[in-house]
Amino acid sequence: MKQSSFLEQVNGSTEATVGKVFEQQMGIDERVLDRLLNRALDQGGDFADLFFEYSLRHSVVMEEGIIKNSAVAIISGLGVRVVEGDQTGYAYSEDLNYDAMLHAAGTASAIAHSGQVKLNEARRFNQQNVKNHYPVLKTISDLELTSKIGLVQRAEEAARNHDPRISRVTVAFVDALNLTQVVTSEGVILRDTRPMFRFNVHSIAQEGDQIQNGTAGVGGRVGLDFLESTDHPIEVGSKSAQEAILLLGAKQAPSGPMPVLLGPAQSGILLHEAVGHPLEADFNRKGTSAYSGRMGEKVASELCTIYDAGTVDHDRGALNFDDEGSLTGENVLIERGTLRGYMHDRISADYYKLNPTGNGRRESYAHYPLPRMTTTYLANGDTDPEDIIRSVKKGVYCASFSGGQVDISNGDFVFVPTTAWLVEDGRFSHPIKNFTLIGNGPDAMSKISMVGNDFAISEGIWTCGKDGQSVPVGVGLPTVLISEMTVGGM
Amino acid sequence: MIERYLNIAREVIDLSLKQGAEQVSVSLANATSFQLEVRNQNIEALKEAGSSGIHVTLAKNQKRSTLSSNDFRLETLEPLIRSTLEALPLMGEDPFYTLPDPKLQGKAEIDLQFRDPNFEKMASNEKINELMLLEKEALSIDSRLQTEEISFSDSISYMVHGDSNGFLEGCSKTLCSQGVSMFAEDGGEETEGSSQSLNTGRKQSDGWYSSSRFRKDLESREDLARKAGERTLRKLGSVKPKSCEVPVVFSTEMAQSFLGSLASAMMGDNVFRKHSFLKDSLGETIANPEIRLSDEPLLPGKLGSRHYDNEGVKATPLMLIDQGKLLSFMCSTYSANKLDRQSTGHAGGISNLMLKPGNYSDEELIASIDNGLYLTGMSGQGVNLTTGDYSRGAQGLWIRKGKLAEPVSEFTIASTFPEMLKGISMIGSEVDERSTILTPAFRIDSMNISGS
Repeated sequence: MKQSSFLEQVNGSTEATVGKVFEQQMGIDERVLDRLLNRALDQGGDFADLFFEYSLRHSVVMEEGIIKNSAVAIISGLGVRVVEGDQTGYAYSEDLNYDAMLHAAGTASAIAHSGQVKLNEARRFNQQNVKNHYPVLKTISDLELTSKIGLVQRAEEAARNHDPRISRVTVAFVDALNLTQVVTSEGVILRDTRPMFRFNVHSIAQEGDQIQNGTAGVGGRVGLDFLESTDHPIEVGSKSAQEAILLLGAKQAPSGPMPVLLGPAQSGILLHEAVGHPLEADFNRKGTSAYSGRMGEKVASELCTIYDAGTVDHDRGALNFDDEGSLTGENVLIERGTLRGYMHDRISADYYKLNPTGNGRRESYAHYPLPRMTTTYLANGDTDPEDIIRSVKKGVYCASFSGGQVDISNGDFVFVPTTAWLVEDGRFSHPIKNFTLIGNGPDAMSKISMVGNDFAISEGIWTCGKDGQSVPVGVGLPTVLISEMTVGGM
Repeated sequence: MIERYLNIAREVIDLSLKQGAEQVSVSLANATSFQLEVRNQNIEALKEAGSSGIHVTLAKNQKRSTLSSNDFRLETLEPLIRSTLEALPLMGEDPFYTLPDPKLQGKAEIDLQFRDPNFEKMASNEKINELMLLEKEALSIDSRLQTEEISFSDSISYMVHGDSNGFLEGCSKTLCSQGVSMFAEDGGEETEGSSQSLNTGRKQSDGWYSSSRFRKDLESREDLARKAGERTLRKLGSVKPKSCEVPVVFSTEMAQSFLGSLASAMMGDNVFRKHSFLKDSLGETIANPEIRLSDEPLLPGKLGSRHYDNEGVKATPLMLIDQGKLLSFMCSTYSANKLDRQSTGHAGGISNLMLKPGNYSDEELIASIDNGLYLTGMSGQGVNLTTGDYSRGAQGLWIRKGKLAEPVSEFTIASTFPEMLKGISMIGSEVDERSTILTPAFRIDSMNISGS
């Protein structure tokens, strides 16, 4: 049995599916779209857009050896935005009947006061088909509940069986399917079905009165074939248990400035905090970022070429088009240490007289778009990672992280390792715990002194928060050495 | 509105029982909000909308499953209820899941002053004008200040909770906030090594906001602007401190952050899951004897006040720590069942967490320190509730000879919860009312600073 009988029709092309739901089932056809857009712009405004969303989310949670809960959530709504210059009027409706939607369009229109109403009676809609970066033959949402429970139980067992010191295991299986339709006042209609999957295991290891946590996860915009490709439950289950056991034997981290080695994949969180957020164009348009007005200047070591791309197939940060209808691409942010570009939404792109970069994202119909990251990564280097580790006399090596945070204005950022080792004389000495890394964006990026040739994209587990909006993102990085950074242990 | 939601809750409970559920609980919420952002005498964003949600838990034979939606129509909910009930047999039996003991349920008899009677009386234009004036006021304080964002928001929300025990109640609340975020260039003085530094675009930002159920209780334009300006300017020229071990004064906001984490470690859900360093400490002295911490749901007008918790358990004050001794955890029905105790009415978390104020002004806390830190900002996820370890990115002002001196940033502070709780030696007297955590500033005798 399925967790909900909704969406039997999610087969065939993604555009057709979305069209079927919004147009045929809800009666939101081009005539309705046209009226809503006309209403939105009837006080003036440069452009307006409509963001329709219909999402279905399932989860199964296992704890203490018991399948404790299954949950299903269905959410739908329309967000209407009117933009004049850098001013945004926004309203949304959760009721997709015509009058409620028209009311929202009227509310959003209040921002515009130019009175220059562009008569656009002959608006022609053009439904665009774009390249799909997450084609899925069968969605994970189609999986029978019993099969999901089977996978969850398998992961629980793997974690438990890893070591007798594992005392508690929690497994969560979450799949979602988001039907999105963006319609702009220029007449562009874009439709997408966005799958999202997240599988997470949390283990607690206990020895005497010592207790440690371990977590591991996988996910992304993937379909059933992802689950069939590898034995993820066994891998994720064992990995979370391994981490908890490793930390049981970890010693307190050192304190003070020293070389910091960042392992591949998850350490990409460095980029997300140190340069990613400060290069979101809204902060630069307002002048609040430490990188404002520094285009073309050197802002990082020459070993650094950094991209943000919504086009990494099946990644958690992937998008075919962003949440205001701009196509995503592979955007260079920093090229060999020189600042080349910001991440834009339509408002900032207009301000800088550039093309949008496909970074206009929102959490849901209830939010207006902001410049946000998709998947942010550092290009591969050419040094053998073994040589990088060997070059360090005394420092720390960080492999996985719980998260990070940045102060845009002064560039100070932190990121918090979960598994890490002390490195002495070019070798791993022992695992260390309980510390935070703190640095300053431009300063830390200038101290990247070696870049490995082992580039990898992190498992799809990251969620980014900004202005109260959460969006899924990806990160990637090869092994990197930062010659000096402050390690905050005890 | 409330009547309509009470009816929907009744209908959902009846329908679920009819379809075969043994226990049902339903929560509905709706909020209408208005948000305004101004920058450079221009409206940057104006947002107005209403959002709703319904959340239903169905149980039978000690198995449970949940559903949620933002569509309240029965024709949407009915098939969801059916498929959720169909999923139930696949769940594991969990004898600890029950509805609350009906004897514990009910609404505390007190007017908590949830609603501003004048809520609807301010037009959008007045709000816009107020923000324009607020920005002018803030910019007039110092020519170095620039606007990041001047914001206003208000909302009115309706909440209903009901269950198959027969509990069914609703309430409505208003909330208003107004805030100022400023920034300033911080390029100024040449510091050592600056010739090769790429760190040239440095700025500092900070701000202040006021938040209240009643618009008349918001701080004045002058106070908001002055505090935001002072807080931004005092960060200019900040340096990285040397690594050391010193006393630290936690400003009220940092005290809120610390006590918020401590409260999580006292939540029954974290205790039975062993996610808490306090799991075996009930009845033990865990903090300096001066510390008295309680949860106070029945304070009229305070932001965390409530008549009952998310499960309809009647709210009552609860002493958590007295004379440094841990007296109680905060339990929902489920965590109470797990820990073999009674629900304390904490489904949904703390209400107003209150640290009993001491006698010291903030100046006296600072004056007590010869060399140390006045902590004004923390960042990062370095709070480990399981082990009690604490390591955060930090910002603040250095204290020299009892006076605030240079601003400091780009360093970390580290210690453990047990050490910090025992090290709280002086508690301030000035409480910040903008939060559900009502605490003054306090001094912790020693923490590790990791800097240059």
